[in-house]
Amino acid sequence: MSRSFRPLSRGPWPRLLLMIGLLAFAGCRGCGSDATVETDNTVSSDEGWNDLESESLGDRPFDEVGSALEDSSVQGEELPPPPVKIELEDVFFAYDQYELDAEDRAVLARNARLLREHPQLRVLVEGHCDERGTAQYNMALGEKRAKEVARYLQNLGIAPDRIDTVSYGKERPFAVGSGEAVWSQNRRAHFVVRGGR
Amino acid sequence: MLSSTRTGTRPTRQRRAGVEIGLCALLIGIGLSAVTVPARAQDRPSFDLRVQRSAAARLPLRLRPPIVRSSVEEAVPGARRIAQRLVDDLVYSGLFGFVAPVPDGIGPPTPAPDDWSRPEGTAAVAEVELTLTGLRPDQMVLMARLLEPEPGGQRLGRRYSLDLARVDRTVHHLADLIVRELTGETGIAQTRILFSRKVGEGRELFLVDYDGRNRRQITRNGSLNLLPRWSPDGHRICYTSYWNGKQRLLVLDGRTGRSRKIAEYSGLNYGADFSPDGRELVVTLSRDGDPEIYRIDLDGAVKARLTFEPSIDCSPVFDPTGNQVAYTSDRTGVPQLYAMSREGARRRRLTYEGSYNDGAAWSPRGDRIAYVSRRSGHFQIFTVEPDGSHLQAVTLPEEGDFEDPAWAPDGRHLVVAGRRQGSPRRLWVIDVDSGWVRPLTTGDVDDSGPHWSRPPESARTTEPPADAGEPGGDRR
Repeated sequence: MSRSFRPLSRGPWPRLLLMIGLLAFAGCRGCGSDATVETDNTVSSDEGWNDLESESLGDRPFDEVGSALEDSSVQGEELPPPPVKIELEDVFFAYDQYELDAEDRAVLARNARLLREHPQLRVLVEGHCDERGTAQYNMALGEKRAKEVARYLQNLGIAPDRIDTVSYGKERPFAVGSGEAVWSQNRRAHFVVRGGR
Repeated sequence: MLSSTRTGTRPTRQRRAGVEIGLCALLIGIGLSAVTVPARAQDRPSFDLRVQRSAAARLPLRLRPPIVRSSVEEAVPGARRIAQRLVDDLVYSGLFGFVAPVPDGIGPPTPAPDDWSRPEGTAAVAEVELTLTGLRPDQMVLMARLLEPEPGGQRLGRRYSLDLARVDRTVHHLADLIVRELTGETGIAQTRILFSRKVGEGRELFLVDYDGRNRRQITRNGSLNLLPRWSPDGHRICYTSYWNGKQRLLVLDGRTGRSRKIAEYSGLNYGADFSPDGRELVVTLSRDGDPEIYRIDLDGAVKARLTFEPSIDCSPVFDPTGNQVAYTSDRTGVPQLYAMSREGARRRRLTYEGSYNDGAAWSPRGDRIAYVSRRSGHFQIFTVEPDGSHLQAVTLPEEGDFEDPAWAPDGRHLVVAGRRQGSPRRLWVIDVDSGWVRPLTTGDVDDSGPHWSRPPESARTTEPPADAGEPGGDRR
């Protein structure tokens, strides 16, 4: 039995019977009257549900009737709830540093609260650096930044298995160019929110 | 004072010597500002022998007018092109100049160092004779001879079949033979350089001949592909890439064209360097918490963890013997170079000057280590000997910012990434002994992480040093 029918199967039988009854009533109206009752193209008035009324149940093998009763040729698919969109704020660092300052900790407290409110979500913490310096040391520095942020989120009660980290070093800057205005934007930990597992 | 020709400049020896940051020079307050102190440079007790080698003039060669015995229309310009390319290669080596006047139709190499030509009348150490024959442009025969000056005994003779539309490989091969015959050095004309270039939002790996020709793209996965490193046999490339928010280490097999994931540990998996025997890699992983250096096999299995500091340890490279590993640690609060044994023992610090040193590249000769050093806010290339002595500046702050040094197999040329004189980040080749710089890539690009291949077996003069044991084992 597919999950989409679980409410029906679990639900009270009277409700199911009531529904069949309503369908039968509708079918009767369709066949018994010249008045056009909204027939659509998918189910013509000559077949489908209407046939249930016009044919003797006794003439058909039981299992066929059964399958007609429980016609499941249209099932659809389970529609999950709309994804929760939460925005986590980036955290910025001083040049060559991976320590968190008071402002960073305040940002992380807000991020942690959002993550606690949405326990189904996971987060990827990306560590980034500005263009100054070497590719390899910056890669390690980006990792330190991401890990420092992850550690702080864990201290705020976020389960470690909800947090992944990755370093992009200086290889994927947010802002392009040179100068402190650009560099300061690129020394960051950025959060990518991922759905539940 | 700074020449700004597009094709490269050759700083005077005096100027370069003046910016060698010898500790003694700093102590007496000369430092970087002393730009021209020729007399002092000569007097310095630690004056580097290699700079003296560069001071030795290029060996004079004479190029005879190419001989064409063919009625093929393209033969005459073809012979001229072959001769020109040979001049380019031999001048690039830094070892040779050509006695003026060169034959008609042969000009300065591109780019040309100032001293490529030797004065008229200079006695040549050898003469090059090229003879081209054949009946079809794609089926010609080149006979190349290296002759002693009068009476003209043959030092070298080689016959090549070639297609005039594809002379590069042939000329590079001949150039390496001449280098080996006359100097005993390993030629680099047949080598290639790997690097990473920005393509769209990602970076892809590229390959280019040592002279900037025949550039081709070798990855196309749209990800960030970084820090490519040749295996010693040249058949494989190890590099770092990303997939689904994870960093991983891949090995591309040049024979199949396929990449294979070898390491995807939690956290960092980057900056691998092959051991000289090609069986292992040193690499930075953070699977145990913070960035540490590990030795892994080609299936990614950890053989040994080499560092245990709570600080950053990264950028490992083997020395040419495979017994030593140079690396970066910021255990003092700022990144500095260190060296240790391949087992992680006998650590020692190599750099004390500058507050940001990283990116060690151990010369294939074993005698010095190139690295990146931040000086006055600019990232410069320096070299230091494996015992921490003889610090030497390779680039000048006023030239721009440079990074990612990698040695050519001759231990004389470096390829670096840098913004030179305001250019986009491109690749440059520096003759460390003479200071001459030539562009390897051009245009509006963003190139990084170059790595120089070893030459084919035919061009190698000696095997890499066997068990040289302790550093400072002097191979000069």
